[in-house]
Amino acid sequence: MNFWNFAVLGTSFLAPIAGVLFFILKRERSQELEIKACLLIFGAAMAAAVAGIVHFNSPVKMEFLWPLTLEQSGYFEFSLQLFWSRFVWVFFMAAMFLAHMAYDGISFPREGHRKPGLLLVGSFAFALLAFLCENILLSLMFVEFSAFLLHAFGMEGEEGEIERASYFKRTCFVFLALVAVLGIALSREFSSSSVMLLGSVLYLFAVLVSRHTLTGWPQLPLLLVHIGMPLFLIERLMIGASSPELWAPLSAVFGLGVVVSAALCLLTPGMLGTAFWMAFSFLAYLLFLRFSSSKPGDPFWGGYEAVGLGAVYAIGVLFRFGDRLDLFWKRATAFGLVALFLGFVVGALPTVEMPATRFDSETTLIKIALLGFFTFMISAVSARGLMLSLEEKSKSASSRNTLARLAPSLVLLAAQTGALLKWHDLNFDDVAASGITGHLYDSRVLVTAAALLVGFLAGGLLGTNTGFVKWTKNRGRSMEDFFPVIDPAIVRRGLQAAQVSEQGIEWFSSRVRATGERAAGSLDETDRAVFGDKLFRGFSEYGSALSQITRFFQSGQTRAYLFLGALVTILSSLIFLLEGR
Amino acid sequence: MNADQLLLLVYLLLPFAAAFVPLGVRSGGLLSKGTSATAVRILILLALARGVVSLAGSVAVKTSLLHGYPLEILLTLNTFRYGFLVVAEFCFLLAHWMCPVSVPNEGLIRTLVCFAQGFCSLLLLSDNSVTTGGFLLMAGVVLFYLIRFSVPDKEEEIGAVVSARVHVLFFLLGLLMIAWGVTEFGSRDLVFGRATGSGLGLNLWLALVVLSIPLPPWSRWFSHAMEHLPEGVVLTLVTFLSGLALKAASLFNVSYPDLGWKQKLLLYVLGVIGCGFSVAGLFGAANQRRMLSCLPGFFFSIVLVSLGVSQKGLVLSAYFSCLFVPVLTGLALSAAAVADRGSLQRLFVGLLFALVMGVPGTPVYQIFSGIGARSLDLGVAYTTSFGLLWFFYFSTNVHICRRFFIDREAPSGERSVALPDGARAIFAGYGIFLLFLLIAVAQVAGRLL
Repeated sequence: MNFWNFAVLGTSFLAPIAGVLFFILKRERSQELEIKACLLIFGAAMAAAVAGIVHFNSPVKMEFLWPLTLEQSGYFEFSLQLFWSRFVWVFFMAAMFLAHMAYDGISFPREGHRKPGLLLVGSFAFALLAFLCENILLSLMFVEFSAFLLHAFGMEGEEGEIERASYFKRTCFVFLALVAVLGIALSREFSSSSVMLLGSVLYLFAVLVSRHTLTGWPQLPLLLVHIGMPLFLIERLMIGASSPELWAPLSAVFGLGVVVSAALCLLTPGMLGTAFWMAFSFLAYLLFLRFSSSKPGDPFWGGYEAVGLGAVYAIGVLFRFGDRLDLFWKRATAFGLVALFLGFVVGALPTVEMPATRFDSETTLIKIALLGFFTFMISAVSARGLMLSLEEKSKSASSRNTLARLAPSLVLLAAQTGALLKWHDLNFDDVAASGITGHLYDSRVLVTAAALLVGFLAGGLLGTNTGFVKWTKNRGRSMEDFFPVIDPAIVRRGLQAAQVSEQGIEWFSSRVRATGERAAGSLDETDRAVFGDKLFRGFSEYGSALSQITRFFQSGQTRAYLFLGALVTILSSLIFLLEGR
Repeated sequence: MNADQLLLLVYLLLPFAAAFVPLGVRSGGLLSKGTSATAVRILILLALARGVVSLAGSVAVKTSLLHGYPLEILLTLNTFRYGFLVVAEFCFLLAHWMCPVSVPNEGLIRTLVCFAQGFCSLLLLSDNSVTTGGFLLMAGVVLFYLIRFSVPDKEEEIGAVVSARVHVLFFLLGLLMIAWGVTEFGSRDLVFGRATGSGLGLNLWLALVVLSIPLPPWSRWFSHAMEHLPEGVVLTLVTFLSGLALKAASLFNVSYPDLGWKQKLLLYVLGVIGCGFSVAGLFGAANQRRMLSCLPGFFFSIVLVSLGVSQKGLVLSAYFSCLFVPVLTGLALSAAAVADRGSLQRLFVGLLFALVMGVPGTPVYQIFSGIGARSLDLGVAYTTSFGLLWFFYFSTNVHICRRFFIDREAPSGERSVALPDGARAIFAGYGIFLLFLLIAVAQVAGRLL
């Protein structure tokens, strides 16, 4: 056992465990102290994750000295796998929570005996377990735990009812997804691995469809965390699974997803709606890239998707504070950062494109054209959003430090660069040898770079075109209506459904009870008729007659003796006669 | 008769002896003849641990009821039964503590709890089929009067219905057990063993297993009992039923290790239906007691699911379910009773929640991992069905947690246990102890069996 393995693992778990203990043992609530504690915990977790990314180039399995499961097959063995791509997810999660606390910690409820910080740290602890757990089934279990704690955290805020409706929808959709998977499995049309992959994709859809349009900026990092966890599960399932029959249909579905969500994003007037749909379009784009590549199961994709989601958050932060970017250099920096992130995500920059994993030599022209089109769409979405945010009127007079607003972008930039260089370092020894110019002439890089530039310009133009902006604003909140903000009807219907099920059970039970009572009644009747009326009466009459005869023979009367004598004589004669024959 | 046999005999007779001792209740219900007898029984079990657990042996006592006939009382304590009895005794201790105080039939209730406790161990240890049937018949009478006398006057009608149901059920179970024993083991002195495999015997056994488990929606009496009876009586009833379920499940291993797939599918489907109805009942429940009453029903149904997916050998998931149900019931009732929460009580509730959620290492985790592993082997349809089952269970816990801890208005609940201030901390501490004891017993038992 390597000392550094233990050290990195211990450091990773130290922060959440210390945080949980802190919140449990602390008696009095203090908002400021809680925020500081959370910042410290998530900051330490980020540092530990960086150490994990640097240290674990190859997977290391860590088992407990005392195995927690008694099951011999190993399906549910609880062990941890330490690998750099998993620590990228840990980093992403910690960064999202840290950003939430840094920008929106002030929205913590001030009163009440509940501890929202405990829920957040608990959620992170379970997510950490999910990301590092070797067993995918246990990862799923920990993801559910984490999602529930996050839901409980969301219910502490002002938007509790929305969160409640959202979680309810999530549960219903996951249930429906499971039923659908069961149906697919029973149809025997697909292989086991394909069914599992379908299940994980449906799980992701269930999470996506359950989310509501953002009603506040604090929800953006939590939305990305919600999206990130099922994405991680898909990554886990894809590694080692062979289900090529589904890759093309899934890439088509996600390609369509890019178009639809980007279109909705372009038509949405508000910044929150724009950020919401942008997250969806980026997600669909990342999954399109995975499933349209020749190696969707490559471990690279997990870390790539994590930094892709991080890019969404960084761009979202620029959207949020765009109205305060008053000077030219600030705006130029913001545009530059967004362009750089897009370059990273689409792989249009030299030395960071992924020719070996994304497309092979047999890549068709149509695929490249589609890639260019989708790149154009997400670039347009990002540029339009940024342009709109610059035009937004500032609601607050207070001016914050610009660097603070750019901080997530800078952190993500460093992380993204580090992760991609790490991947290159592990997979391509000849990067330096091939040189930048070699990559620049690659047709795919050129197509994506061109699509990015055109999309960026088109998005910027759409954002500044007053006619288009007015038209979208006049449409009101119609785009948001796809995902209602508050959906009390669903909650009400859910409660009604629960009552109906209870009534159904009551009805069924009463039927069963009534049938049982009827059966018992008929049994009783039969018993009385057969045993009571016939047999018992017959026996009792026979018994009383026998008793009378017995009493008669024991009465001492002359007639009894005479009768007995005659009976004995007859029997003796009978026996004598029979013996004689 | 050696020392171990003597100890076992004392262990078995102690609750019956305690039932006739005319002692009152001291210290707010915490010290009584029942608790004293249970404490001694626990000590005896600990003394027997070396022979039964460490040396993996067994202790048996045997006596004949009728000379010349195979009617004998054959009671054997082995590792398998030992684990359950240890947990059950601690649950009975809690049940004695939670028995109602200052009610009209208080003394009678405590005496009947002692009887139920005694019959539970006799039932579990008995190896003669006809004698086991006899124990079931007698236990039915005990439980009938226990329920009848413990129901408050205002709910007399429900008490009458529930007690009648229990009596009829146990009468039927007793007859079934005797009939099954005569059919399958008539040629082997009526002692449980590998069944001859006759169709009648198999059907009798299936009926016995299904009837032994209070399966929703047919066992409405069980949810009524959980909702309306005092906490101590509920815990006694659940512990007894767990012992019965364990007996039925363990007989599967002994008598039908290679059960046909049709019979297994029947058990599996019935189990899944039971789980589904338990979960649906919980979501529709209006008060605390009704909500909490659904979880034991779920785990009882899980016993059938475990048998349905079993391969060969001992069904550990069913064993863990039977271990878990009484503790879960006891802890849930304790948690509801210690409503005013200090730091110890909060810790107790938190640990209980971790236990119920199924964190790795806990019995719930063992139960689901056992069923899940077999489901994975049986194909993707079983796997998905298992996923649904787990997801239902998880959602159930989420619902309970949200209703109790997150919602502004927690569900209403009535408590028949009036605890003094000091007792609340004792209950919470005992709950934490019971929780860790269960985990330890499950871990050790799982490795030994």
